[in-house]
Amino acid sequence: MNAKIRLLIIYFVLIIFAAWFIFPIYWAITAALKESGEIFTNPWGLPSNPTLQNFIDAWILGGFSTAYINSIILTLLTTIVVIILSAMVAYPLSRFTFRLRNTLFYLIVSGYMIPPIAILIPFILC
Amino acid sequence: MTFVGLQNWMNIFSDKVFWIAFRNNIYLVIASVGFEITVGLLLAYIIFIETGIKGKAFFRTAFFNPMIFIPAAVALLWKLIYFPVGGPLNEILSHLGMQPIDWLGDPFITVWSIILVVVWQWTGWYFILSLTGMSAISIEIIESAIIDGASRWRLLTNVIIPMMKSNIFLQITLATTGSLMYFDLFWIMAEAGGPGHSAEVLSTWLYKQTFMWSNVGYSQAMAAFLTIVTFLVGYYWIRQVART
Repeated sequence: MNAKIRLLIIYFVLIIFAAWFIFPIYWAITAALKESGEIFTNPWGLPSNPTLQNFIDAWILGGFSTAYINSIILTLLTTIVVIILSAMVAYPLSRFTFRLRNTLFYLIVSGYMIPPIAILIPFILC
Repeated sequence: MTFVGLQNWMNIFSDKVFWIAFRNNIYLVIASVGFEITVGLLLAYIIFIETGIKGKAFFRTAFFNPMIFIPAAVALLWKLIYFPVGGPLNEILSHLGMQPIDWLGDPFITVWSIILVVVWQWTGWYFILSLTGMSAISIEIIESAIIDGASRWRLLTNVIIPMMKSNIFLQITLATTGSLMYFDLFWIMAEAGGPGHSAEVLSTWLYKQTFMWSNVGYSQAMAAFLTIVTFLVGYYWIRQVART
């Protein structure tokens, strides 16, 4: 009895959160299939006559074909370089003790703490 | 060329918008630590400890789901959801018989509307981090605590949280530094910084000063200020991580 109510409350909490995290996505997917006028006249329903025209427009008129290629290049290069370099740097830092080890550690970590906007100007000027 | 001394610093500290932006960053830090990390930890604990729950994989995916979207897409999506006339959210309110709210047009609400979206996107991230931290604790310790009669709450506060301290400190490091330098959603959702600059954060204000009005002296003083604050906060928390 007690355990059943407990489980019910837990499910209730989990489902509320899951709905909060999922519904905007449902909305985005259905809105992508609607004609642009229908997005505001029928915000929550399913599309009345689904169309793929929006995707074609985004791909051709919106320049997504170039953007996708750029994103793929960026993702591939950064992932490969970051994984190789970070593994190689982390190994000596965690396994060996040497002079200035902590200094080096904080120096590397501090790269993460510099706001990207703040270093934009020095990068553009040089 | 003339040497202006601390004039640029005087300028930023006497600027009202600078303080609004700084205050909004503090709100963001509070929201990220107080909500994202806390709720992420509690949700992770429920998923971790409750053996009777079905569909754990579904909940895990659902909670992590907002993280896979790029911030620009999230910003545009929520801008449409917040749309004042005919937007989905106000549509729900009107069905419930409530007055429509101008989510991105009211100076008191705008910043919180945006923070709500930030929270929506990032809670799942801290949920996953907490879940991996909990899963790394050896099962014998948890079992022996349960056999000793520890309630689930005591198990969380006295066993699990102390054992995943470094994980939580790392989350706080990521949340505080990330909140102080946050840019994307505020830039896209409140293009002009919201009504009366009420939804400005340090990064967007810095960007405007530099690239729209070319106040490079002012903006570099601000960049230095932002870097120093972020660095001090991040350094403090990363030391806690390294210490435990």
